[in-house]
Amino acid sequence: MGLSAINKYSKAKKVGEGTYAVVFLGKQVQTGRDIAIKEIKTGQFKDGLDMSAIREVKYLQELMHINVIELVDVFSAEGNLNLVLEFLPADLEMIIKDREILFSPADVKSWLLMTLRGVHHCHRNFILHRDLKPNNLLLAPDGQLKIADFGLARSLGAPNEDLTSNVVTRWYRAPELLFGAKHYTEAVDLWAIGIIFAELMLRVPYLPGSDDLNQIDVTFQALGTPTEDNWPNVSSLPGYNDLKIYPEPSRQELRKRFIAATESALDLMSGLLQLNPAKRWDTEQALLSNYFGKELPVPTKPENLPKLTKKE
Amino acid sequence: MAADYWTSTQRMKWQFTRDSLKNTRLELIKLEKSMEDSNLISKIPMDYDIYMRIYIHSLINKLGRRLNIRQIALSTAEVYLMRFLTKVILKEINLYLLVTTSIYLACKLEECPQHIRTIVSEARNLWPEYIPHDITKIAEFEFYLIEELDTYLIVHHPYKTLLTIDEVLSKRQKFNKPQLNDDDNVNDNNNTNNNDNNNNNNNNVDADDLNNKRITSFLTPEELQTSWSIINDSYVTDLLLLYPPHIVATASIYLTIVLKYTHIQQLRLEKKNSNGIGTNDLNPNQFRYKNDESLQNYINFLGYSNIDLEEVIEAVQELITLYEAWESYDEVKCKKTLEIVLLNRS
Repeated sequence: MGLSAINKYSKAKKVGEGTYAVVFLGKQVQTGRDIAIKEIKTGQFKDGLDMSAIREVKYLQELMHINVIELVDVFSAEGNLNLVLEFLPADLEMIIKDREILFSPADVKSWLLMTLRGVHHCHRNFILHRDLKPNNLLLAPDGQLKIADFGLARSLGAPNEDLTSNVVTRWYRAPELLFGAKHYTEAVDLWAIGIIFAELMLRVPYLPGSDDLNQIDVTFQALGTPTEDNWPNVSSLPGYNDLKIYPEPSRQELRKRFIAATESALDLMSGLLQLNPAKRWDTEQALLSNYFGKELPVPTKPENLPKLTKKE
Repeated sequence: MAADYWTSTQRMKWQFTRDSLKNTRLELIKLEKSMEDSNLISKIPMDYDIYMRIYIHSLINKLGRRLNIRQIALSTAEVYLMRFLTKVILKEINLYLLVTTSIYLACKLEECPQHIRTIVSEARNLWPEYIPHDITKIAEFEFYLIEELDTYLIVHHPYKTLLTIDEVLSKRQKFNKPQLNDDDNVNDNNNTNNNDNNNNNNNNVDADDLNNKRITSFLTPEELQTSWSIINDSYVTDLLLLYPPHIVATASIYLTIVLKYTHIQQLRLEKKNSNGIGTNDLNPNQFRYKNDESLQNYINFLGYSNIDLEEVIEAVQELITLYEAWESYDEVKCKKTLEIVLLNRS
């Protein structure tokens, strides 16, 4: 037992810097394996370790799944905590933006399947990710998709515990969060997956609100304004006021917006984008849906998925 | 609660056998000896024995109560402290700083973070000689603590299993005896009352936790509270370093039901001896019927449950030993020893 020694790893170059960490590329000396090292800034030593860092360590030490980023090791050096993570050279956002790549429906299905599997594993362990977006879905050299960035993750709250609604990057935020709900569930992650699914089909962000207010408008313009009829008690949520009432889109309208989508793809997307979180599909329903079960094409094998055309 | 206990780091990395725990502690004692010999630490004896552990338990609860911290976070803090002291000698560190830091870190983990200044100032109110003004001392100690925990931070507690077992037993009871519904109504009333309370202290928060989950219940509210308190006490012992949390939960219910059962048996005997005076007030027959049966139900459940009963028995014994030791616990003595060692007072 005990933390590893620093000399088991070599740091090559700095590749990124966030609010609480600096990321380096490096190698595991003994095996030559490529790895990423997230050096957590503790230099200021004011409140101790940042909450995001705590959450990341806390959950990644427990979760083990092919579609969740692997925490290979942890070591401390010069008073800093270093997370050794598997090396993941690309993310889904980069792939979506790479105009030279063509997606086949089988590719989209494959990425969505891996996302749902990873999130299913989190939910099975009562962990909400709370920040799903293409940028946090990383891609391994062998094509496997890995859910990363658990800095906002938390355990499903107890019934009397308040949660903050200030989670999830705006474009992927579920309606209950837009309304400022203090109690919510795994359903917030499924909404985000629904939006990611739409983005994979459209190749542009589906509901790009310019600010929090505009996000509400953009969301309900596309998917209809929730009412007491389809979502009992929605009007008692703190942010439910002064809403423009938009009708729910007809199936025909959805077909027009998502031209290439099959009927079962639309079924799945609509299930994930149910306004009422109680009616929204969970990971199991999604994974067992016809889109994955009965309908062709079968998902592309991860190793055959398109890769970035230009190297950075 | 997050993640599955069976695949958890608690089970894979932080669970000892009796032997491995004993050896780990023997190593520590050897280390202590050699540090004493080279004058690195005080030679005055101070053991991490059951009395010291009761004292530590009381420190955690004192600071926790001051800050109104949820029970679950305090229990996590106690486990951190217990794990830490399998690696570090008690005499080597400032215990009061360790207590404060464990609570500080556990609150972050259980998503009820406390402001570092608040916790330092409350700890200073309680233990001014031991807690420095400088908040960075806590931040530094937190880093040290995380290192010694090998960065495995999620702790699985017996509380949730307690509620689950209660639920399972109530279903079995309902299935067997539908006429027990009256009891359920009583509990429902309790629920509404408790929910109206505004969580004045951490006990109430826990009671709310309990009652929200409990539509129907096998244990009476008092029995449930007793089991809950026994679990709180179990953090004085090594139980959570040795066994899965459900073993502790099972043992706590066993102690609750059996203790109460023997208590009532005794009452009944006393009644008989005093020639039946006052029997009507207590209606012992009703008591008897219900308690014999719940004991029987619980024993049946244990039989079918696949729970490792040998471990349960060991846990029960450990808890009884704890309560016996508690009788002869002397707080002043522990406090004094720490004063002598940490402050060089005599």
